[in-house]
Amino acid sequence: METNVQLFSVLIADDSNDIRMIWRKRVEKLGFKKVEVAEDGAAAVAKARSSMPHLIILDFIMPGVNGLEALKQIRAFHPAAVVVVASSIAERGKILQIKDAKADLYFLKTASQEKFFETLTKAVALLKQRFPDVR
Amino acid sequence: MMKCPRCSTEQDDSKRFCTNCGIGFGIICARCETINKYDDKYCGSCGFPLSQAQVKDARPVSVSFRLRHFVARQYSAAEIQEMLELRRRIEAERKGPKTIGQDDIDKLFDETP
Repeated sequence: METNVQLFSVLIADDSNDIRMIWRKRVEKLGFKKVEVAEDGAAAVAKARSSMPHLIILDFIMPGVNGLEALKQIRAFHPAAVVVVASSIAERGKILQIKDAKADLYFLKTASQEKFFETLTKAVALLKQRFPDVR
Repeated sequence: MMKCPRCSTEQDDSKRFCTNCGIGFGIICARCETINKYDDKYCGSCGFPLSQAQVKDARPVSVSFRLRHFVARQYSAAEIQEMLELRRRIEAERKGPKTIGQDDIDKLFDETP
């Protein structure tokens, strides 16, 4: 992974502290330095609004404002963000809802670590397209 | 002349079926509301004399007069299509939601909208 990845900011939203820690370690391993976390959908929307992160990793099932609703709200004010929705839900219908709400990528939590890194590699390619001024 | 109760076209009093939409005309007994055949003189249920004047209130009747008290609703092609689609969706839901793996998810998101 190229070193300029560290210039992109990341927001990780998941109601599980363990999952937040795992995602944080993984993205830091990839070279990201600016990592924020949120424990639910409402906090994710608030932090996205205040810091406008380049990359958002969003859990689908969260208490209060869920991932789908948070995604819709974030897209309203931050359409350029690269959003990866991560979930254990594998139902095609629900995944299509996420796609229709303009998520960029969807990652199954039950998939392997390799698949996670593949997904993040795609996310980085999108980041470079959408934020070409970040160097 | 009278008006067809379904399609409102003008029909000759002598017609037993609407020449436009095909429903059968019947005569409703004023006493027991049984729907009788168009050319019956007396109600087949209670014997009350029927009159042509009542034809103006004729309702759609099923072709088979064995079902005298049942007025069959005729569905349009669009309504039938809608019901078939609804049945298909219910059967699909009954079978349970389809789950997919990461590779299929990646293909879904790779598709251009």
